[in-house]
This record gives sequence, C-alpha cells and structure tokens, in this order.
Amino acid sequence: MRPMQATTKSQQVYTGTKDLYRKKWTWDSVFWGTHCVDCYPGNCPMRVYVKDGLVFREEQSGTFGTIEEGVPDFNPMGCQKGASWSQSLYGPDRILYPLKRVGERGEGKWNRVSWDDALTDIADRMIDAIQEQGPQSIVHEGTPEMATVIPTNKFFSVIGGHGLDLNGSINDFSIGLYETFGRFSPVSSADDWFNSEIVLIWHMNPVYTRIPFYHFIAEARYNGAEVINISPDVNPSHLHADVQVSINGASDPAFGLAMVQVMFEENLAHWKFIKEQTDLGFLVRTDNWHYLRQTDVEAKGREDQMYQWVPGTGLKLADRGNIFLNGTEIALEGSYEVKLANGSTVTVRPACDILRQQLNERFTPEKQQAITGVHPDTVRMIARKVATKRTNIMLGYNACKFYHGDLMERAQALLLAVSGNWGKKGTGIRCWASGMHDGAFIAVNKPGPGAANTEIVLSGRDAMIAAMKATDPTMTTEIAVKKMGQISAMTQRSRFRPGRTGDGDSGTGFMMDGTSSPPAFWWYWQAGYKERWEHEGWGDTSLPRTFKEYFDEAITKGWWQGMDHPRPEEEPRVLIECGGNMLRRTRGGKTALLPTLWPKLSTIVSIDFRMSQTGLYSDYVLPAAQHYEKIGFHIPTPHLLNLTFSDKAAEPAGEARNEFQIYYALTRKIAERAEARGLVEYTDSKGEQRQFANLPDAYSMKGFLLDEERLADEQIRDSALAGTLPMGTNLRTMREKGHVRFIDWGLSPMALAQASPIKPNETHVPFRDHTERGHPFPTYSRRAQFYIDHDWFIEANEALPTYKPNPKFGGNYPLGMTSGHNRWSIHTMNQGNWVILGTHRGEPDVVVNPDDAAARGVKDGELIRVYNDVSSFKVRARISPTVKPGQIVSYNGWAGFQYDDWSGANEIEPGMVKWIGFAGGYGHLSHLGAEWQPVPADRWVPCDFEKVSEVQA
Amino acid sequence: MKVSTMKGGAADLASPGSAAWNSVVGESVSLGAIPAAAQPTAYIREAWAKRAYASTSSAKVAAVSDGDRLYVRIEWPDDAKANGEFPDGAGVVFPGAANSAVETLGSASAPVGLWCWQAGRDEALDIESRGPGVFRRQAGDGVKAAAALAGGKWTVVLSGPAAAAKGGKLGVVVWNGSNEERAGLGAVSKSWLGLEQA
Amino acid sequence: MTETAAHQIAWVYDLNKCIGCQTCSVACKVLWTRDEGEKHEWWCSVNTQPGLGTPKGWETMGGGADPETGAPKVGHQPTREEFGGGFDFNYYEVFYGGTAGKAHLEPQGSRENRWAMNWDEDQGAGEWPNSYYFYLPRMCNHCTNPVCVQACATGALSKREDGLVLRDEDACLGDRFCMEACPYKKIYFNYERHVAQQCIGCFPRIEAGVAPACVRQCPGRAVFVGWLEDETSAVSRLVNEWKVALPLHGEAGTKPNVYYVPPLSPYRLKEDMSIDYEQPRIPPEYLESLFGPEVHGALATVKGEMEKVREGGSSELMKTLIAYKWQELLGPFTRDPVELTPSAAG
Repeated sequence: MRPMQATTKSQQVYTGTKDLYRKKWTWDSVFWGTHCVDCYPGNCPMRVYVKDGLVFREEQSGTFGTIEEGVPDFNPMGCQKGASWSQSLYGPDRILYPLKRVGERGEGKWNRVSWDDALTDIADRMIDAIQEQGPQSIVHEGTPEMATVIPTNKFFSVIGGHGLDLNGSINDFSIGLYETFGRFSPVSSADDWFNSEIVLIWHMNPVYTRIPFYHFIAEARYNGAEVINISPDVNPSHLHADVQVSINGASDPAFGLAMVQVMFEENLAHWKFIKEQTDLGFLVRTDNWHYLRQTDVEAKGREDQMYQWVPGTGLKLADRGNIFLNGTEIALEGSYEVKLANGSTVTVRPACDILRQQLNERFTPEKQQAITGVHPDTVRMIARKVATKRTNIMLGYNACKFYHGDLMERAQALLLAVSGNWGKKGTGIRCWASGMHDGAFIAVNKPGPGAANTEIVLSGRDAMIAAMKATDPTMTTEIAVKKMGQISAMTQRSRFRPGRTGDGDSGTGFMMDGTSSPPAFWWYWQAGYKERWEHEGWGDTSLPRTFKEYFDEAITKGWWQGMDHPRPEEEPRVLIECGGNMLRRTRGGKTALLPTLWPKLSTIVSIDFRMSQTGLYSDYVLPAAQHYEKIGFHIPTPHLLNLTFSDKAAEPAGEARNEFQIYYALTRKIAERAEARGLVEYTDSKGEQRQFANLPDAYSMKGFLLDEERLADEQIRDSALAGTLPMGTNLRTMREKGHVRFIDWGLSPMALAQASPIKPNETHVPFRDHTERGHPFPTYSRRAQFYIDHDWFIEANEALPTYKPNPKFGGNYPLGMTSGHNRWSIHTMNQGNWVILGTHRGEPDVVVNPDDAAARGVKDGELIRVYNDVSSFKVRARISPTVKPGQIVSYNGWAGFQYDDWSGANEIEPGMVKWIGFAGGYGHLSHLGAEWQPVPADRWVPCDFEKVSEVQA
Repeated sequence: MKVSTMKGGAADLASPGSAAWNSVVGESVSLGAIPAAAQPTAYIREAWAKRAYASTSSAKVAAVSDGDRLYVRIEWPDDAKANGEFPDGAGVVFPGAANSAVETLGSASAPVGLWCWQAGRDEALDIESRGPGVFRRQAGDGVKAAAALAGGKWTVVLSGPAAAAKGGKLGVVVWNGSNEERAGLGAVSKSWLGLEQA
Repeated sequence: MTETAAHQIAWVYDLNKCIGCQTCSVACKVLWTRDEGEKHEWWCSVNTQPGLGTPKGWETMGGGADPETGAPKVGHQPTREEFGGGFDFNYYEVFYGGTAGKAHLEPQGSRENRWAMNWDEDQGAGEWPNSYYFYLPRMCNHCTNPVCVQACATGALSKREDGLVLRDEDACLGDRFCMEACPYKKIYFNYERHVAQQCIGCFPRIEAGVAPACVRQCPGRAVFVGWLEDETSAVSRLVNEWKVALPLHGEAGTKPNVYYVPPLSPYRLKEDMSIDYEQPRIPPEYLESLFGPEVHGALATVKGEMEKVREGGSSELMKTLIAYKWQELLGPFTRDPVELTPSAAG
C-alpha cells in the first residue's frame, strides 16, 4: 500500500470559513495598472490590489462609458493573462539579481553579481566596441512597449548605437495593405465592429487573439451581422460564425479575386467608389505595361502624374490633390489610342479593364475552386452579400507572414474597393497602428523640461511640415510627414525623423541621433541569411532571376541607401536586448543565429524581468522592474483610442530597477571607465564627435528622466499641449481616471494614417477623409493603388493582385506548418506563469490531423520530430480533426526552453523574405520606420514529422 | 483492559515502535460494521447498501498512562491493496455520556469522543461523534498520533489528556482506506472495553 | 434536508459569446485558490465540448438524484489523477541547472494517464471540414436540490438564504460523499488541508454588492448573474420568459442554478464542399444530450430572433443578449469593488 500524499506543511489556522474567505478579499491599497508589453491592442485598464506591500491580484476596472448610443461599451477589457499578471510578478522565472554567465553561452550556469560589477564589465566591453568598430556596433532589436522602448532608444540615441526596425523583425507589416493604401495601418475602433453587417474573419483568430474585443463580433451577430470565418483549419474562430469557409492553405488571393470577378460580372461593383478611390481608372500603356505618365505625353511635368479617360473628351490628368471626380465620368473599360510626346502612338487601357480580363481568364468562381477548394456557390453567395452590406474584414497579422501575403491582402483590399467598403461605419480592414501619445516622446527629446521647451518642439515640427507641404501643395499632412520620414531614413541624419511609437520615433521630431535599419540587411550580411535566401530550390520560382540578382540590383540602384547596413565589415559587437527576445523571435532561431551572429558579439546583455530564451544565451541578465513596479503607458491604439495608465503599485522585487535607472547607471559607468582609461571622445557613424563625460547628463536630461513622477506628468501634459489629450490632463487626473480618450491623432504617421477625424461620440472608422473629403492616399498614384507599375512587379506579373503558389522554402515536404498567436501568452510573456500553465497541457504542442498522425503512427500526446531541410524540433502532438489534412498548426509564443534542446518551432523556419520586397525607388515603396521593407515569411513552412520513441523515465 | 502507569516515559510512549511498549499487555478487540441502514445520509445508505465495508475484523489495543496523558496503541493488519483516494485510519472512542454507544459511534443525544488518526495527515483529530460519520471537530487540544507500517501491520499510537479515560472505557475504529472506508464505514468495536488501573 | 431558498442567485452563460479564454477560471483561481493544496483546484473551468473535460470523463461519473423521487444516485469518486493538473515545473533546473538545454521546462511527474483541467482543449469532434466544438464553462451549480448537502454526514454543507451552497470548511472532515453525489463533479479535494472545496459563489463580493469574479471579469460579456425569482432580471427573462437558457444535464435531478444559452454553429459542408444550409455542424442530438430536449426550442428561438434582426426587425431577446451596457450583465451586483474601503471589503 502507499500512504496518501504526505504533507509536512503546517496546517492553516482559521476561525471560520466565511471569515477566512472574506479576509482573503481585502487589501491595503489599489492602483491603476495595465500590462505595458507588446500586447496589442492591449490597453486593458485594471485595478491592482496591494496587500502588505505586495501586489496580490488585479481585476478589470470596468470603467468605460458609452461612446456611441446603441453600440456596446468596452467593459470589462482584460483576459486571463492580464487577470493573472500578478502571478508572474513574484514567479519562479522572475529575475531578482544581476546574473553573469559562467561557462559557455547557453550552458545555463550563472553567478549572482553586483550591479556595479556587471555594469563595469559591460561598460568596458562597450568602450572596446566603440574603439574597435564604432558605436553603431552596439545594437538592439527592442520591443514596441513604451516602458522599455523609450529608455532604450534614448540610450542608443545618446551613444550613437544602432537599432533594427522592429516591425521588420516581428513582421507585423501588412505589406499588401501598404502596397495598396500607402500605409498598412487602417484600424477601426473595436466597437465599430458592432456596426458591421458582414464580418469576414480572414487571417485572424480573434477567439484567441482579441479576447477583450471579441464580444463586439458576437454582439454584432446578435445585431444582425453574419460572421464568415475563412481558414484552412476549422480554427477556434469558426465557433460563432455562420459560415466556415475551409480553404486550401495560402490560396486566399484566388478566393478574394473570384468574389471580385462575381461583383463585376453581376454588376454589383460600386463603380463610383472604384473610380474615385482607386487607381483602376488610371490608364496603362499596353506596350510596356507602365502607367501612362505626364512625362510620356507632355515630355515635361511629373513622372508620378497619371491619366484617366473621359469618354468623349479623352485624357484627363488624375488630380493628385483630391480624388473626387465631382460628376466627371471616367472610363473603367476599353482601350484607347494616345499620342505621346515623342510622336508615337500607344494603346492604353484603364487598369480596371486589364484587371477584369485577368479575373475572367483566371479567377472565375469555377476556376478558383481548383486552387482554393472553395465551392463556387459559396464564392457567389459571399460576394453578393459583401457587395450589398457593410463589410469588415477582420485581418490579423497572419497573411503578412505568408511569402505571398501581400497578394492576399491586395485581393482583400480590392474586394473592399469594388464593394465600396471603407470609410464608413462597419466597414474596412485592420492591421495595427499606434501613436497619439506624442508627449511620451516629446518629453524625453525636448531641449529640457517644462512647457516652454515643448512649445519649441511643437512649433518646430509644424514649421517643418509647412515647409514640406510648400514643395507640393497637394500633400496632406500625412503625406508630408511620411515624405520627411523617408528622406531622413535615407540620410539617417535628420533631426526630424517621424516614426512611430513602437519604433521610438513618435512622429514628434527631435529623435534618434543613432541609426536604424531594416533587419533584412543585418540578417543577410551578419546572420547567415545570405545562404538561406539564395538556397537552390527554396526560392521564388515565379521570378525569372535569382535572389542575388534582385538583391544586388536593389543595392546598386541605391533604393536602400543609408539603410543597407551593417555591411559585412560592419560587424556588431554588443547586443542589448531590452524587452526583446531575438532567439525566440527570429525565424531560424538558434539554428540561424548561434553559429553566425553570436560569435561576433563580445557581449550580449538581456535586460528583462524574467528569464527568456535569449537571456539563457546571454552573458548578462539584468533585472528590470515589472509592469506593476513602474509608471507606464500602454501602446495607444485606434482600437480603443484611450491613453491607459499603469501606476507603480509596488517596489521592484529583489534588486530590479526600472530601465531609465539601468541605462543611466550604464552611461555613468561608461563615462567613469572611459576616464579611467584616459578616453575623452569618440566619433559616431556620421562622423560627429561625442564626449564620454557628457553621456550621463545627455541621457538623463540632467536628471529629469530619473524622476519617474515628473517625467510621466510632463509626458501627459505634452500630449495635451500637442492636442491629442484634453487640456488639463496630467498625472493627477490620470491617477483618478486611469484612462482618457484621445481627442486628436497627433503627428505620428500611423495615427495620421487613420485619415479620419476622431469624433467624441462615435466609433472610429479610418479613411473617412478619403470618402468624405476626397483626400488623396499616400501612395505613388495618390489612390488606393491596385496597379503597381514598378519594373519588378511587372516582371513578376504582380502589377495587379494575383495568386501565386507558396514557394517551397525549407524544402519539398508534404505538410505545411502554419502558426498564429496562441491563447495563453503574449508572445512568451506568461508562458512561465504558473496559473496560465495550469490552463493547458503545460508544454508546447503542434496540432495535427488524425489521418496525418495515424499515417505516421502517432498518438495524441506523443513526442514527434518536425523537420525540413532547415532543421527540426521535437514537440508533443495534439490530434484534432479541426486541422486540415496536410497542415500542422504550431501556435507560437512558446519559449524555446519549453522544448527539447531548447529548440522551438522557429528553428525550421528559413526566414525567407519576398524577393521583390527589396524593390524601392518608387513612391511609397520606400522605407519609413515600421513600413516598407523586406520581411520574413513563416507561414505554411514545408515540413514533415515522425514519431520519436521515448523511454519513459 | 489494564491501563498501566509509567512515569517519565512520555516521549517513548508516543512512538509506536518504542521499546517502552514491550512490557504493555494489550487485548484483541473484535470489530464490526455499522449497518448501512444506520448510516446518516440517504446517499451513504444507497451507495453502501450492497458494498462490503468495515473490512478489518479485529485490532489489538493497549493503553498506558503517564498520569497526564493517555496513550492508546492500536495494531491491525494492513490491507495490501493500494489506497486510492482515501487513507487508512484509526481512532479511539470514549463515551461522552453514560449511555453512549460505541458500536454506532454515538448518537445525537449521546455522543462519543473520538481521537482520530489518518495516514498522511500530520495532525490528529479530536472529534465529537453523534452517530456514524456524524463528526464534528472539537476545540480540544493535545491529541497526537504517530503511526508505523511494518511487516504488513499498522501500529498507531494516539494520545491525549488522561482525563479521557475517566469514563472507564474505550473503543476503537479502523478505516481501511483501500476499501474507501471513512466516516461511519470503518470497523468499530462491537462493545466498550473496560479500563482498569493496573 | 433541503431548505428552499428565499432567493436564488443564478448564472446564465451565453455559449454563443463564450470564447473559452479561461478568464473566469483564472479570475477565480487568483482570487480564491492559491493557497496550500489548491493548485489543482479550478472552481470555475472551461472545457471544449465534445470532450472528456475535467475531471476526465465527468459526464459518465454518475451522482445526482432521481428527478421524480429525489432519491440519490450513486456516483464515482473522482480521483486526483482524473482531475490532473496542479503540475510542478522544473524552473530552477532549466534556468540555473547548467544543463545546456538537456532539461527543458515541462510538467514534472509521470506522463502516464496525464490529464489537466483543460487537457483536451480545442480538439473537438467530427471530421474536417465538418469538425466542430464549443466551450462550456462550469462551476458549482448551487443547486436547488443540492445532493452534496444531502450526502454529507457532518453537515458541513448548507444552502444559504441567497441560494448559494456553501461549505463550512471547519466542519468538513474530508469524507467526500459530496464529491460522489455531485453529478457535475465540481467539488475538489484539498489533499493538504484534507477538506473538500468548491465555488463559494464569491459570497464576500455578493454580500458587498459586487458581482462574482467569473461574471465581472468575463471579457466575452458571456455571463449574466441575478436573482432568478426577480421576473425583471436578465437571468429570469432568459430562463423563464424566453426559455433560451437551459440547465446542463437537468436529468441529473439537482435543479442547477447555472443555465446555458446553447450554441449555434456554422452550417455543415456537403461532400462537394458546398454549404448545407439545413444542418448545423454541431449535431442537435449531441446538444440534447447536454441540455435536454428543450434545446431544440431554445436554438430555434435564438436563431429565429437573430433572423428577425437580420431582416431589419427588432428583438428584445437580442438586445438582452447584446447587453449594450456592461452593468446589464451584473444584475443587482453592480458595485465597483474599489468603492469599498479596504477594511470594509469582504
């Protein structure tokens, strides 16, 4: 016999059950809190309850009022992660003291060291790096969360280090939306989802990923909406849908284009909307398939000035300043003869005419069925509904992670264009956007504290925008800001470098004396991706040339001038991960980075509140304050349009410090060590001199940034001065209310990209400036652009949206691995939370179809090895008939250290970028922070799996 | 049963394997089941109507006092079957009233006292029982237990204030956890065992 | 003996809104079950249906009462293994043990028959492309005929005036007849403290006018709470007026006070992948096995009212289920807990 589970613990003494439970629900104090990580949209206002100086629980505040009568409110925003955040605050993965690696990197042996010892060594390594390779060899990748990005970017700005464009690393860049709209970030407020009549959940899984906002979809359905879920697997968001469209993996463009074909064929298209909002009425030459340009016709004028055709009249210069036609009819069909300036005659056709020919030839509902597996009746049924009802495409950051994700998104955008579905309530498509809290960045970059300094920044940026607009009066503010950003990215020098919140560039100016670049070049030259992208058989077989030919052409033509770094000789030396997690995040993971990048780095420092996969392979892990231990703001988003405040509810645990303090201490130590080493100054990558002794004051703005309360107060006040928050908003009012609704967008490009006024009593819908005021789009053509006449796009047959099969990056294998955010964590955040670990199996798995499992002799819960040409990883199989045969689903967010050999699913991802993503020199196809750049594909990765025999311990 | 008095040996007596017990003469006690019909709730009656319980037929009991505390040792053969959810247990029963019945573990009007030990549980319980399984923890302190399982036999020593013996009699109850015996389903002394000072 | 409660607090879970996020489970856990011996306890939990749920196979474990006679039915004693979960993890070994990847973070202990609260999450049933599932949150049903109260020998359980079934943990001696008798198997055993435990209906919050954590913290706005006897309450209207909220396994005879709006589901696809508009993919007979024959009428009502709104009409039922203002879900328990002074709370 065996005794019952023995216990040696003391018995709890209590006087009565009821009192015991009443006592459990008591507290000493309550603070506002939210979880200032890259949880997007996030912004859930919570009450944080403190007892005996420790946070013991949190609960959603439920304090939102009604915005628009007849639309449900936002309460009670939060999810299971947020409701147990306190449990990771003092959890077993919390870092409490500075740790220094002993033994090899990744061996898992650490010594606890003092802050002083750690910073001294790190400072010396940084000085070494500056002397050997320059300050730009000190690099960071970062995270979008403001509480770490602001102190981190300030540090890199002050020392002249180098940052990687984060959106390029994580690839939440919706390329197809960008190619179409000139920005990728149209975002309706989540309550506007309620106004939809048709909800197409398409490359999104809101049941997992939009827990606090999902109710608007369920409620929209009760309000009369029909919900249609489109996915290969019967994914969790099929649950409350009326129709599940089971589609072949990566075939979505064909499905979308077929619906467009139906709308044209059945005369359901919104003709006026198409003519005004899009470039489909622009004339295209049939000799070279480029737009007909003013320079073609007049031998002078603008190269980016195109034409429309007015029946009976002929050529009409397409208005670059206003897209309304004011009653003028233009042709969408036909072919016309045009005399060029050189005397020749060319046949031109409206882009729409070419599009319709292509649709009829390749994408009728019947023809698409062979590609997508979707029944033609279903295509027609949905097309007719979309054409006649307010339709919202719920797009996540999933399509953009397919190799041809841009084609998917372009087809989706086309569907909305042809059905007139943007710029009004209940319509549109979504990605992500941030901004609005301009003060957060103004405050840390203005000449000094105080409102007077804020006014200097504000008037300066207004003057610069005015100057830019003066060069071209057809520019909107958004276009002007974007243009300035693109120029400064090229020069890496401008003191006005509008960017986005997530990049640290607020669009508020006076930022970044450091440099930054799209990570594609870093990967190619420093991290071994050259071999991957040029690998025979993994590439884009639809293109006539090799990867190297495209890449070399892009560099030679200077399309990425100023950003095509670090070159092979510009090796990085010191990597600082602050909130980032490169080994987990990078497609390829350890397989890619440990043999290539890691040996070049003399020092790797992780600043984090918990142990991460990258932390395990770092030289130092420095303990940061967790979110309840410092003042912070969540990344603001149009989804909610509120600034959400997070207070310091408790002292940092152990020896943890907030990031401003850590970086400040580091600048002091650099100055101290430089002095000891007899060093005075160094030259940054722009040839400018920087004094070691000046770094601490430059970093802290003479102490201003170290005063947490004062800094937060000025950040809020500066946003009020910038006009995005109501006047009178300050730290005190935030402490009272916890959250406040923005009243204007400010000047960050992603906020301006909403192109709609914020109305106090209405849901937010982007693009109303286009539909209600005729504002032009920030694209090359100044329209929603469906015809991209860049040479490469024409060569690739991708001038118009089309369908192409998924390349076999990773090899020729029978299965496709898809991914998506899981339900249980924010990336890896919360994977170590003991409460969350209890809500699932407690370890990673991949979901496989029963037939695929049976064919490989695998039972539920058994260990399998998933492999392709790149690498392999071991994981448990979860068998479910929801998965399409031929597909495996590896929800992401697991930490590498939750897998055998600390090798996770990203190890088999080759990180292939779309080759023509290196295109440039074409209007909006030009880099700006977070925007146009090559991004890695990681969806439908070719692979197979086999059973791993286990010896049960 | 004779209750001998040993001064100064308290620590040893509390231990089931102590040599102090070598000289103590115990008695074999015959145990029986409280009938299903007498069980306190309809659920228990229904669940156990056709199920055998009180599977331990006898136990060996010995008692020693050190003046302040009474030590009662209970020994019985362990059921070799694996325990599932329920632990093995044993208890010493004392009359709570002149007419308390040991064989039903007391009644509503005539309760019994119960010192109770369960395998895997640190604390011993001091219980007032008003019928089979109709138990309520008492504030009374000082009941302790120690147990040993060796050679297929449980040896448990329960101890408490010597005053418990003032009624002059005791009984025992043994729960076979592997048979899911608990509450009124244990094997109970069929009659009180008289105590006399040795 | 059962007392009839003067009031009866009741919950209605709208399964057309529930997204299985476990926020109710987690909110409950963080608030109530973080102490010794409570790691594996999930007084509120959400499972994927069809599935074996928690404890594993609970639907076939018996218990409950004969609906006609009220006579108790014998049930299985759910085991620690059947509940599963409560895993310990090897954090220290992984982070600091110098294993260089040889040890990875994973639940410790045997893998044989391993199970957990949400083990079969999202596995579902059927065959692709007609696979299906839905989420079912469960908690103590605070039954009107609480067989747990009746089964207990020590009198540790009682039904309060507000209809909550509560346990006096001092009086509980861990005999666990309640766990056998409960047809929902929603009572846990604390092996450290040797007492059984279950949902306490957040009575300290109820007493303070604050909605239970599972309701107030549900981001799906899927749970209503209120007094069942109040004809104007949302719970009463959904249960009694529209009859769209049904008890789970009502045949278990305990008269549960947690009700469910049964789930609609997407149409099935035919062999040729065209849509079969006649058939939902969740088999109606499966739903009947959970919610009884009344489920067909409830589904027809929800679907009918939904159609009415789609055609431009208005529906009070739809408005109720939408709950334009969040407070509508909270019944009379609309108080914000921060309004309580720290000492007055609880």
